[in-house]
Amino acid sequence: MISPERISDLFVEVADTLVDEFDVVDFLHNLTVHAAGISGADAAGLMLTDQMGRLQFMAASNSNGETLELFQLQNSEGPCLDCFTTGEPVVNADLAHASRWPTFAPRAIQLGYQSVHAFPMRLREHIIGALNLFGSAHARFDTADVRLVQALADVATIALMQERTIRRAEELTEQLQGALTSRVVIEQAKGAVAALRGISTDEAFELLRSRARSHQKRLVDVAQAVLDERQGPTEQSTSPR
Amino acid sequence: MLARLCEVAVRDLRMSGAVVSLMTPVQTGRELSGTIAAVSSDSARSVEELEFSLGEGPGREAFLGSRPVLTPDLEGALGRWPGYVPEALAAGVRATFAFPMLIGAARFGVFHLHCSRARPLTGHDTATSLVLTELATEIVLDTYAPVGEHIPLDGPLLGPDERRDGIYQAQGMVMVELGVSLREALARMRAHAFASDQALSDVAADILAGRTRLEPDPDAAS
Repeated sequence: MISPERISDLFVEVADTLVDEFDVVDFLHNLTVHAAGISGADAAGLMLTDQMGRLQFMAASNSNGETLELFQLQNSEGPCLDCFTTGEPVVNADLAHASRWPTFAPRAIQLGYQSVHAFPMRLREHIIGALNLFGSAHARFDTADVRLVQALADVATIALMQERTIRRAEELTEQLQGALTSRVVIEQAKGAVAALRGISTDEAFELLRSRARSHQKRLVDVAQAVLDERQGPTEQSTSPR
Repeated sequence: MLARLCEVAVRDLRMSGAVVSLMTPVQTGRELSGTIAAVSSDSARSVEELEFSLGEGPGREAFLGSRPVLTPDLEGALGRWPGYVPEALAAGVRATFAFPMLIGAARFGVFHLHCSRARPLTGHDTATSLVLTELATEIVLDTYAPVGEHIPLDGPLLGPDERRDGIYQAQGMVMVELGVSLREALARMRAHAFASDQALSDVAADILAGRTRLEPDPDAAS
């Protein structure tokens, strides 16, 4: 059973992490520890999708939690995976009667667990992972408990997605800047070489490309070198600041 | 998808044009490069290109300042953009509303709305514009969703842009022919365009074809 007193403390703590410097590793570990703590579960584990959309183990409240998460991934079977696939919670699953997990259930029982619960890390249609709780006694979650843990998972999901979006945005800006700047530099160099050699800009482009090939350099670097030679490197550069 | 967004903006907000313009700073100072990613019409594109040709305008300011630049009546903004305003008015644009495309500190460009009549943007229209700007930003982000993937130089957003490419090529030529910096070369091209009442892209085309050759400026310090 979940104690209501700890709930508000917990959410305040999670909210604090959203504002301060966000350390994802720390955040996820704390999440599993808190989830186990407030629910009375004996172990908790968390999986999230990587950039390719594959589930990866991210954090656990103790070594058993880690073992069981990894075991699910290795055998492609288990409550966390089911939860991720369906986007629905797995609640009060009795490991002694879990025929849907013929490999996983015995292993979990071996480690001393009797019940398991899994909550999707989900924001509308985006499912980014799942949170697993393991209980050694017959810990039964009622509807209120399920809602609370799901709310915890939801808050964490929002924080994680926001962090991912910001990271993607920053990387995209860098790449976009690089691509746009490269275009400019290459076109300018085409004009410069055309004027220097008295040839067409298409011929200039071919010259630049063959120089890049023979020196095994990027086209943009060859182009930048041409411009630097003419006007000095202070005016414009594609190198990182 | 961005083009559709522009069409929706024009229809729902009763604008004459909408443009998604990607930008990046290229040098120290206020020089920007970029490309127009989507437009609602060719005339909207021409109006947007004015800012690049002239090196001034509300879209650029919105990007540089990372804040919306709302101009309900361009006629009152002649002092602010002495080059841009007459050209925009001549092209039939009387008001513009420029919204920077941002996520956190990352800036991608501007979502720019043009209107053929002077009007302030109502609170409701402003809210809609902000939502559309955010949508545009997300579409740009989603187009390159996998982190770490390299943006090709001729990818879906950075298609060929002959007008701009020609301007940059001419810039390189002028740099060599006059023995000046790239920045100076562009300034000279813009000055020539203004003096001869030509579009910058036309001046560039003339330079590339050898029909025009800019003269060294006897007054300029070398």
